[in-house]
Parts: sequence; C-alpha cells; structure tokens
Amino acid sequence: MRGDVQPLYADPQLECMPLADLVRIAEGKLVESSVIVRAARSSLYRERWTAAGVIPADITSYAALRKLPYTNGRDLRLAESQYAPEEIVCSEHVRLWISTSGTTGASKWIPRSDRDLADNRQTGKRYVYLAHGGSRFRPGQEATFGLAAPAPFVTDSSAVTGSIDGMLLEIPGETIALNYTEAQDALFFALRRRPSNFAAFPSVAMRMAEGVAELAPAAARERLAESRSLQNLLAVLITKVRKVRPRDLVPFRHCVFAGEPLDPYRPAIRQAYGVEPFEVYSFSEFLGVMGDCAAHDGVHLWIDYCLPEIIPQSEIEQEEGQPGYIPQAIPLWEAEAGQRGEFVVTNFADAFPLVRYRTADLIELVSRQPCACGRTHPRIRVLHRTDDIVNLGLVRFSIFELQKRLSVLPGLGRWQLWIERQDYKPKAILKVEETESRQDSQVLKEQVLQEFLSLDAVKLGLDNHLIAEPEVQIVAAIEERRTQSGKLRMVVYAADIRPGGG
Amino acid sequence: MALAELVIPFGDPRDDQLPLEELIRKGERRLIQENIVARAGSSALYVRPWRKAGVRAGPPRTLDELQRWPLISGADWLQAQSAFPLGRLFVETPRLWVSSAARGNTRKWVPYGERDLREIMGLANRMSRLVQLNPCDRVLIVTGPAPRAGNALPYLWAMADMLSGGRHLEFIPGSMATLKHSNWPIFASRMKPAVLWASMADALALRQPLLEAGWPVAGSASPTATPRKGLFFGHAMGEDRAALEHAYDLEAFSLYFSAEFPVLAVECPAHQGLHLWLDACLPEILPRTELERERSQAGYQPQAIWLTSAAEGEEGELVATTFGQSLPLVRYRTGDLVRMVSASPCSCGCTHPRIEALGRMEPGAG
Repeated sequence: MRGDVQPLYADPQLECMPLADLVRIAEGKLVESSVIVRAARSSLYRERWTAAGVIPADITSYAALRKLPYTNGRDLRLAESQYAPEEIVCSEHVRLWISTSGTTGASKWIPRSDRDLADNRQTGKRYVYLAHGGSRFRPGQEATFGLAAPAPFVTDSSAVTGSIDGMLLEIPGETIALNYTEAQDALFFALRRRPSNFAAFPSVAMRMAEGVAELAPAAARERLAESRSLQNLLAVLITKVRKVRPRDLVPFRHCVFAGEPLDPYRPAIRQAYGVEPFEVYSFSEFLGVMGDCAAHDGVHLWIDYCLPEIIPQSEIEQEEGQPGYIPQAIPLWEAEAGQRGEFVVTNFADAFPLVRYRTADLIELVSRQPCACGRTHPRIRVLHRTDDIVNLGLVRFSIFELQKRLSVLPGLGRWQLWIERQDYKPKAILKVEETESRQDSQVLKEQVLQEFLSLDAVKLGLDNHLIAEPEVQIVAAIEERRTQSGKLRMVVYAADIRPGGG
Repeated sequence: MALAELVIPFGDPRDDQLPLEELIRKGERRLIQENIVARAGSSALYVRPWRKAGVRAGPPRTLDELQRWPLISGADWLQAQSAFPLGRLFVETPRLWVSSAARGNTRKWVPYGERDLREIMGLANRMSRLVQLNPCDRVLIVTGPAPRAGNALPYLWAMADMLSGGRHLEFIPGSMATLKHSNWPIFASRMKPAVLWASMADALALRQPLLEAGWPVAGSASPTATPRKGLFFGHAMGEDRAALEHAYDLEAFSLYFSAEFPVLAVECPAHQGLHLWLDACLPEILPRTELERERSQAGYQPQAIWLTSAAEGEEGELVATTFGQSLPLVRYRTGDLVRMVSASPCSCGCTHPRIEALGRMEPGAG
C-alpha cells in the first residue's frame, strides 16, 4: 500500500462478485461462525428464543434465520437492566466496553472482544480502499484530523486504535484527534498541521466551521503577536475583510462524516470544506464501518459481512396500528430500489452478535445494481428514525417525553412536531392547537416553548449551536398527517413530504 | 492479508532486574547506537537553545559527554512549536499527536512515532507486571479528553495487552466530560472493576458520583466488590493516598508520566517509590540548591547530576533524555519535582531506581 496509486479494492473478488455469491458467503458465515449458537447464550436472546422454540443449531440459512424473532434497542436495554452486564456477552473474553450515545434513553453497553477489534480493523481497511481507492496516496504525508466524542463513546478510543490498526495494516498516516471539550482551545493548532483528512459528525463539523469564522480573527492576531511575519500579518488582514472557512485554512482532500445523516449538511459542508463529503454509516451496536464510495450514490452495505433486511414502511405502519402484529422483513438483496423501511441486521460479531436487530433507522435502498465503482454491494441511504425518537441530527429525544411535558399545559389541544431545516441545521417547529380561543395565546406559546426547551437533549443542542432555535406556531388545526393505520402522526419530517425528499 | 508484526519491547521480566550498572550502560548504548543527539538536532526544538549554547561538537560518545549539551525546557518547546511549522518539530513522521494538559498557548504538542507507540505499549505492559495485575482483571479507565496524553495512554495499554497476549485485561472507559450525560458510573459500579486508572483529581472528584451510582461502600463490600488496585497520576500522591485508599478500599499505586515524557514510572507493591525505567530514558536531576541558585542569580546555568548518582532524599527537577523516534528529548527539563528514593535494588526485585513524584515546579521556578 505504500505505492503511489492505491488499488481500487482491498480484495477485488470480494468487492465485485455477483450479489448472490456474496449472500452465499454471508449464509456460510452463519454456520462457520456459530453465531446463533453463541448468541443463544446471551441474556438478550436466550429466553425469547427458548419461548419461540428456536433450536440454534438449526439456523443454517437465511430462510431459517428469518424465523427468529426480532430484537431491538429496548430489548437490549431491558436485558442489561435485568441481568448482570456480562450475561449479554457471547465470547470467552471482552477487551473493551463501549456505550451507545444514550440519546434515545439510558446508554446501552456493548462488549468488544479481540476478534471483534480485529474484524473492525479489516472493515476499516476496506473502508480506506472504498474512500481512497484509485487515488494517489502520499506515504507519511497524510494527516487525519478527527473530532471525537469523549469516553465511553466509541470514538474516544478511535485515535489510538486507528493508529495501531494503521501500523498493523501498514497504512501510513498520522492522527490528531480532539474531543469536543478541547476543540475550541486546540483547533487552530490541529489545523496548522494541515491535515488532508477530516472526520466528524456533520453537525459538529458545521459548528466547527462556524467556530473557525468566529475565532479566526483572534487566532490570527495571537499568531502575529507570537511571531511577527508577513504571512501572519496577511492572515490578520484577511480576517478583517472576509469570513474565514476551514477550506481557507486547510486544503482538505477527504472529509468523512458519521453519526447522523449527511444529506441535509452536504451543500454546506461542500462550501465550508471545499470537498465532496463522504458518508459513513455505523452505530455502536454494530461492528465495523460502511460508507459511500467516490460515486457518492449511497452507502455500500457489505453483504458478505452481515445479513441485512428491511421492514417496509407499510409493515411498520400496520404494526403501529395493530398491536401484536409482527411485521415482515424482506432481505435487502431482494428489495426494489426506492424501497423504504426499517433497517434490520444480523452480523457475526464475537462478543455481541446482532441477530435480526431492528435498528430503528429508516433507510432507503438506492440500488442493488453494481455501482459505478465496480462494487456489487447494495447501496442504501439513511433517512431518520422510525421509532418514538425524534431525530434532530445528533440531538435525539423521545416524543413521549415531550408528550408528558406538554400534557400538563392547560389550554393546549392537539399538537404536532415538524422537523425542518434552517439552512443545514435541524429546526423543530411545534404546531399547536388551543382548546379554546384565548386572549393570551402568547402565554401558551411561551409555555410550550419552555417545556420543549426543558428537554436536556434540546438544551444541549442549542447550547452547542447544533440545532436552530425552535419555534412554536399556534394553528387553527394541525395538518392531518396519518399513518396507514389511521394514527395521527406526532412527528413530521418535512423532507419526507417534499418531492424526492430524504 | 497478513498483518505487520508489532514488536512490543520491555516484555522480558529479566530486564526489570538487571544490575544497575548494566542498565546504565544499556541506556548509554541506546544513546549512541540510536544516534539520539544527532537525530534530535534536526528538530526545531533544539535550534535556538543549542545555537545559543554554541553546541558544535559531534554527537556524544558517553553519558558524561551528553552533559555538555544544554538543558532545554517547556518554554523552548512552546517557542519552537509557535515559531516553526509543525513539520519542523519532529524528526520522524509521527503516527499520533498528543498534547499536555495545559490550555491555550501553553499546551505542548507532542508527536509519537510508531516506535514511540510501541515503547509506550511495552511500558504499559511492564506497569501491569510491576503492579502485579491478575489475569482478566477488569479495569475502569477514566480517560482525559483527547488530545491529551491521558486520553491515549489507557487505550495504548489496552492495545498493548491485546497484541502481546498479556493478561487479558478488560477495559471499561469513562470520562469526567460525560459524567452527567452518560450512565457509565452506574455501569462501572455494576461491573465491579478490580483496577481503577484515573488522575488523582478525577478519582477524588468521582467518589461521590460513583457512590450515588451504586458503587459499593468501602469496607462493607466483599473483597471483589471494589477495585483492589488504583493507578493514580497527575500530582504528588502525598496525603491523597490515604484518602483514595479509604474512599475506594484499594491499594493505591502512584504513577508518573507526561505527554512529553510518557515513561510510565510506577510503584511496585513495596510502595517505596516509583520505578523509573532506565532502559527507556536517561534521567538526571537538577538539585534544589541549583534551582535556587538559578532563581537568585540571573544567567546561571544549573548543573544536573545523573539520577543514579543522586543521594537518597535528593530533591530537584527531573531532566530526561529519551530515545524518542519522532522527537527525542535531549536533556529536557520536565518541570516536575522529584525526590530520589533509592538506586538500590527494591525488595520487589526490580533494580530500576525509585523516585517520588512531588508535583509541578512553581510557575517561574527554573
């Protein structure tokens, strides 16, 4: 890999083989990895599987797998609260525990074994080829700058694990990682290293771009005070006449974003960073990373690495309207392009395998035809949540929590939360009905707003400039947007109702 | 694809018990064979101080010759990182940048090369060995925020244990930054870790939140219910030792490192000082008398003595020469006050000299 031009693929055969063959590899792993037998030991699965009469050793194909019940984040949270944390573990040994963000409730804890970390390294390598394949690598001159969340979130360890993985894989490059808490203080120094690569959450990257504009004049003055050079003097003058963007400071070549859907931020990121952004899809429960290639036409799902399914939206709505209904998933490799639904995944992880895990992420299948990059792994787009969790980018909260707070307000009738965008920032608009015409509508608006702002996640998001100022509108009647089963939608994502939305 | 083999040094326990004279000679050999001073000379860090001192001679051939090189300090570091492009700070391309814990313009940025990372991992394994951690011990690591060294080191420890097939330690991370936004104190309490790694300040501040999260009350729990060992760093342990041991019902071990000098000096179970690894650095000490003279006499150049020659009880500023790949330190004044405990073999069998970390020098001192 230390040559001038990187090959396009880590393993051309595996990247480009017919889809059906990839599925066969994944089905083979169901048996080879004994994943179901191992998973049956976990407190997450064992009781429900026993109740469902599952014989783990019989699950040797996708057809058999799909008879297993689904699992979701709530099940995991419940298992972790009812049993000792170790009881979810399926491997002999755990090396590292990481936690989910906890934005959708209490953080869930995920174990990683040494084998998991090794598998993660291999998908990391695949990702490097996916993103850089065919490009010119400059050994020893490629610095990566990343903004990471503090422990116990997985990105806290990524600078070290990524560096050691790079050494093991002989992929050159240096890393500078900052936690958000240190970003303001250390940002300009990190940028002085002129990193080629940048990794962050999209909303945080845009917040950083705003911060660069705000802090650049003072930083330039400071540099000039430290070192009186013509270059530093010019920098001060430039900040007086124009707004500085990250692209003005560093010629980034590759920017990758994860943690929330990239699409709403894409144009703003292009402007601020001067590159076409790449998207990575991953979540703490899942092992490994998946991303889009240089064609930027959806995130490639490694079909040999997991067995992905999709629960169509119509099935989800039927489930919402009909208690006890079990929605039917279809394998992603058989779904039609444009199909939207909840992403369900089975993988072969060692310490904590996911088996028919409902992610609550609404995805759209972009295509299962070979991509322009030559890869045959289907491509998806991640849209937003399917469950009760309101998704304002990194800021997430339960709609039931909001409902609880609003229910105490006198004079408040029906309400509906619209998620729109103000430029690239998520903006919440609460449309509310009054139960009777009042003189003091303004008071009601203020009360609703205060209840909304009292949600911790919203407050944090606002304090950190990750979301736009929320708004309350009193309306004569909220728009009747209903699910297929007839339920009134409490949350409406504006992108869903625009042509080509998503 | 086959993975590169990462050779992690310091894995041989016999190296912990070599005769002192042999350790000194080993350090001297590294100084010469790895051409430390000549390599360091291409870093911007040394440009001004070495020019000012008129250093022109070829690289030192003995430890005594090394002492002709001028001392450099954190102020030189800050000046170099501010005045030169960062590419001039290191002598070999780094893998990872870390920083000191200071904020703003006083934050020192330190490049770690691949060999540096391997050496730190080796020292971390050595720490496990010296502290006598048990196989499969569960470790709660309270990490500092990246880019501080206190963020990278515990993860390097985890990777070291993994790659060397060591003790199969299990790591649970947490951080002060997420104390109010994550359930990690609850999770950590439920997991009953055997080892706690934290700065002393964090460990003291965490006691109450951990208690509220269900951490077993000291003295009332079964022996396995609280950490049995605590690795604490950040300032002189002093009277905090008793407070920490009482608060967490554990045996406290003092640990010393900095971003620039990640040597991971640590106490053994004898608790008679921190073992400073002589095969990982060449330590000197600037005695207090010299520091006082420097303070009172403008322009005075204080004279350092080799730590191994210092009398027991000698106090002063620690000066380090390292075998760094990305940025070797040559007679770097760490700004940390230490006391020489002993250069005699320890009752644990380890022959590397022992120091006591007394904390940072007062601002302006030296």
